[in-house]
Amino acid sequence: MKKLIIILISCILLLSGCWDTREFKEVKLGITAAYDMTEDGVYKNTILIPNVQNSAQGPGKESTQFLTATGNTPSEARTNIDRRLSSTYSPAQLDVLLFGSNLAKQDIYPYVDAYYRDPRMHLDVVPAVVKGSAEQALKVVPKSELRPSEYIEGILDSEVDTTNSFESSLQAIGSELYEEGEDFALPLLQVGDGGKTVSYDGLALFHKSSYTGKDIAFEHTTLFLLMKKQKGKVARITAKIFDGKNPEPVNYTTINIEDFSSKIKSRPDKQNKVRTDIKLDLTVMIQEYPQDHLSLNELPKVKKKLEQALTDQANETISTIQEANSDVFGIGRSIYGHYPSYWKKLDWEKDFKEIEIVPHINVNIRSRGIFR
Amino acid sequence: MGFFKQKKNQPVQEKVIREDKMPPHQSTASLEKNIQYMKEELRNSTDLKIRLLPGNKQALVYLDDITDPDKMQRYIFEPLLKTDGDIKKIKDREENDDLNKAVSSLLAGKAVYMIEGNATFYLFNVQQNVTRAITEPVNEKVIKGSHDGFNEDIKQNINLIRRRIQHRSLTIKKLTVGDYTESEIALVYVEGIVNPGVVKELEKRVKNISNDSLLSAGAFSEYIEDRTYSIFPQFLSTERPDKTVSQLMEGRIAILFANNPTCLIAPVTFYAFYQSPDDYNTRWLVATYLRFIRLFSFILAITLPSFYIAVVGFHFEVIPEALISPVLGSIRDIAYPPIVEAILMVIVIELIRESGIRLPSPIGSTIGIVGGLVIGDAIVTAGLVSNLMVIVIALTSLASFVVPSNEMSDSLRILTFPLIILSSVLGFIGIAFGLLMVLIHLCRVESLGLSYFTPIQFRDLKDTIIRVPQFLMKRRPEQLASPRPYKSNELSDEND
Amino acid sequence: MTKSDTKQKITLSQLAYIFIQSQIGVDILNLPTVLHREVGADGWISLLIGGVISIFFVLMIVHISRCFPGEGLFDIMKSIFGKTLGSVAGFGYYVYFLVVAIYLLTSFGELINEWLLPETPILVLYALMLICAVYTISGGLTLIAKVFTFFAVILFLISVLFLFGFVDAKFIYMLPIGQASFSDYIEGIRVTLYSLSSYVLLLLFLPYAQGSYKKQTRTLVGANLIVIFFYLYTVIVSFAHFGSDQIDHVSQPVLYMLRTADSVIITRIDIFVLSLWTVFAMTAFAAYLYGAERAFAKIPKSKKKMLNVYTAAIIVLAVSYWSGLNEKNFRVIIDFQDKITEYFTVLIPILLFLLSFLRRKDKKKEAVQ
Repeated sequence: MKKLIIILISCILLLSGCWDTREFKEVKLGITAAYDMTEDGVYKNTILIPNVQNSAQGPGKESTQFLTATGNTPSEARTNIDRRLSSTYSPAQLDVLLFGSNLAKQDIYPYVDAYYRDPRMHLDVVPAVVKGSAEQALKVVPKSELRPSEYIEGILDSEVDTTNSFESSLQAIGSELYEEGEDFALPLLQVGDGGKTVSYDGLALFHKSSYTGKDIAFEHTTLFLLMKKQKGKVARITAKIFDGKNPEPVNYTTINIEDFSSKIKSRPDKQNKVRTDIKLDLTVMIQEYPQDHLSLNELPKVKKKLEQALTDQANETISTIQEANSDVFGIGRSIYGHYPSYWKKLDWEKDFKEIEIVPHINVNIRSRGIFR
Repeated sequence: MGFFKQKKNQPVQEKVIREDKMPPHQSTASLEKNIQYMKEELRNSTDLKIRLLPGNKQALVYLDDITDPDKMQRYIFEPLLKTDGDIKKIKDREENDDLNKAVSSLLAGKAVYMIEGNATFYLFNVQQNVTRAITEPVNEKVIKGSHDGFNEDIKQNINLIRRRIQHRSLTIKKLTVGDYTESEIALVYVEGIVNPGVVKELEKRVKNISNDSLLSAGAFSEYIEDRTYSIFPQFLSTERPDKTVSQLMEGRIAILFANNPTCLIAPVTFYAFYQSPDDYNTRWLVATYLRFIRLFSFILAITLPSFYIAVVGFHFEVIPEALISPVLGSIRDIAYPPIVEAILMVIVIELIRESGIRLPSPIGSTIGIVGGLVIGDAIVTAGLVSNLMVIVIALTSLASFVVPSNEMSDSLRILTFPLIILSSVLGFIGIAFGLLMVLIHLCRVESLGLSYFTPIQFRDLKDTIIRVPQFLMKRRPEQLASPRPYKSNELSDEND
Repeated sequence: MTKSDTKQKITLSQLAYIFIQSQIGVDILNLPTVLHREVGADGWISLLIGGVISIFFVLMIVHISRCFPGEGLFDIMKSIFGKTLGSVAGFGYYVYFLVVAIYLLTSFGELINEWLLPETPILVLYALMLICAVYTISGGLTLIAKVFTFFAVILFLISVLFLFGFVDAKFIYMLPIGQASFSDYIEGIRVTLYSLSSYVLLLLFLPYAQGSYKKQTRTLVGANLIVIFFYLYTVIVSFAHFGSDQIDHVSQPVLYMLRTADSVIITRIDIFVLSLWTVFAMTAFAAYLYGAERAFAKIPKSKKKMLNVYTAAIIVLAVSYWSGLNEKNFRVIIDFQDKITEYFTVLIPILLFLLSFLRRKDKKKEAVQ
């Protein structure tokens, strides 16, 4: 009994304050943020805050609020935003982080540092690069969308499903950001239709923590991601397998990748310092073959053509990567892991451009669809 | 109890002597004197009837309200006529010459027959039995299974148990407690299955009770509990004979009370409060599913409000993206902080519950509608409590009612309060500490010296969180240390 | 209702759980980072070596306890070193257990302060922790055993949650092997051994344990293996998740990697894991506090049991408060602990082990009989 009283009294004495309460209702949550660099080198931060009206039936209606502030550091910009809001601004639930290409080309690390450092921040933010001004992309609010705040996130998510983009987050790029001999790519967005829509435009290649200015074009992203061993729910590739036939669509075919396996092997090589073989096996279904009539006899030919076309695509992508000096396949890290003494002799900064990367693509046509 | 020292000038209090321990008082040959003594001892109570028989030489003394005239006719007057007034020829009589004994017998519903000039008197049992019919207990209904229940008559209750266990080792030990009330208590157990040490401990504790009256099972359990200050009940109370018998066969002790339909079962574990007789009457898979539901409801009942408060007040990072706008929309315009909201809503629900209990059922349902629908809706529209908080608290109290045992359900509802407070101060860490304390406390509690809450080991799983088919439950619970650890004569260890 | 300690018996599985729970404290959260800083990508190898060494220590401890049946750490020391020297060593252990308890408490407070409750006075956390631990200890050995056993479930729960770390893991980060120097390895092994050093506490629990010597050995080695595997698992997950550069910047890698672990119902699993970690912090802390209480009971004369507990608790609270004031004070505690740990976890057990062959009591008794 005595013990109980002592415990109770000490509890009451100790618990007589609520030091860390942050009421959810008194916080304004940013859902999307855009970081830009203005012409005169000042950092500009725009955020999108959804405001929800209370309603008795169902979830309330949403209205969006945009705030833009400038500052020398991200925190300063955040303070500047905060003083214009009725309640505290919190980026703890941020979903998408947009970087204007100007800013991304310099260095994105200073702007994301706070996300890594503060335990309250959301590390699952999807970073993306916008060609041109990120603010402009953020302010695109199509009327048809039910939840305007989720527009950009929706674009990015749906591209992940179709293997045009991959599930990236600040946490996921974190190790690549720090690691030597490994770089990353981020989704690239572009404002289109005269500022009415935002479209997904491929992958922006980074070197260390800055945007190289080179991208993997939208047409090549699927193949690139498959080589990187990432596949969404569906993966489709359209390849040009014939030349000069008329009308134009007849030259193309679309395949649906059902299964794939990808192996990236790098080893030291005398000629080119490093030789990397990317072995990609695809099990595909022909989804579209506008030439009609795809007979069994023709399949080996189509397979050959497909392999050729895909290898061309891959080579194109690889040369872009090497030009950008963005080691997205982690070849350098792999060399360091397997041949640590050889790695010390390399100057990866320069050598990456000279290494040989050879794609070996093997296509296995499993099905022609139900129409022969 | 160092805080409250006893005062020195205590009033001197006369010691009450229990009826069965009264010193003998020799009766005299004078009828008048004897009657006078009895009258005085019974404080001239008006229900004391003295019936002088023709000739004024013999008198029949009895307490009017607790005797049965029919029985008197049958056992005394009719035989008297047959034997021509010779009382010594009547069967079923007791003889005595201790007047105090006569008084005690009067109180127990007997009639005293006295004869002038004779110090010996005769006692006849003419007690009027007032019993309620055997009905199913209202608070422990089952869908399948036997529908009888204990009532206020201890004899009938023992009858119900004896009928179920027809074996000579079923032992019944009667004790009386309370100096005025002399309440009869029966300890029922199966010798050979029960741990004898536990019986001894229980008897010792019962004998140590010293009080004028003992009226309810709840009061009794407070006297003999290991930890009275604990929030958790340490005796399982039931009004169902089938539940009692199944517990007896596990090796536990049942405590029956005269004039009380409640039966206490000890020693119990925490898990026993989550078992219902229904479980053993349904398919084992269904029973297991129900057990899971109850386990879930336990967790829900004690943590849900505090969890919600911690999320809304501390860690809104954990709200998934898709839920942000519904949650925000619901709580944006609420005036109070979440803890006030929660306490407000808990009070509303408790009010509805308390008011519903004592009202007759037609009005009770009205209360449910008024309270639940009208207040629930209005309180949200008025902006006092958010939609979500109504859901949270309603779910919590629903979950607490899932517990088959009423006491445990009450304990759980009280337990939410400290957790609410802790979570509103320290968030999740507060809940963690609160639960830690609760669990350590549970581990400390003992029921009759045996552990109350044991960590679940693989073997115990069979009848705690899941219920396996009966033939797989070969062992009695290890906690009871029964002298007969297996449930059948064939010892088969292959499954253990 | 309190029973005397001599009557209390703990089962083998309880012994195992006590051992597991007293080992896993707050340290494991930053062990991957510490190991990586010392040994680089080879950290897990030094962890394995350290683990194997710790098994030898466990075997030694069981042997010591077997040589002196029914005697706890302090009685054994008196039997081996003689009365005066034994008491001095006993006092040394009192200080050591207190320092470890203080270290555990302060590091838990720091952890919570950094991650969850930056504004809350750290004293509140200390006090709550102390109340829980004192409440556990005051119930005696049986309660400690029960509580520790109960919370063992959480270890499995957390192990499952750590699987989230494999989502973004790249096993190339485990390579290259063998880049660290020999002295780095030694340093890594030292760190590992210290984080597994609660085998000293076993001497307090072993006299009360049921089961034969052989079974005890098997159980404890098994328990130690579980802990080592858990450590290894944590280290490998964090290495593979963070890579060789980022991990040096992240002080609690396992928590950090759960920051992005999303599920449908809740996000930010790290917050839950951190709250669950309270349990580990509490059990490890309670184990050392129990050690200190036992030690204090043995020093001058027998006293009331609760007095021992309260004294230990108050000392711990006071010193923890002082060390929580700023980082400098905290460093003082850590440095002091580093200095004495070697003596109490490595040197004295080895000494006891060697001397136990000379002064063993079990053989003597048999000879008398």
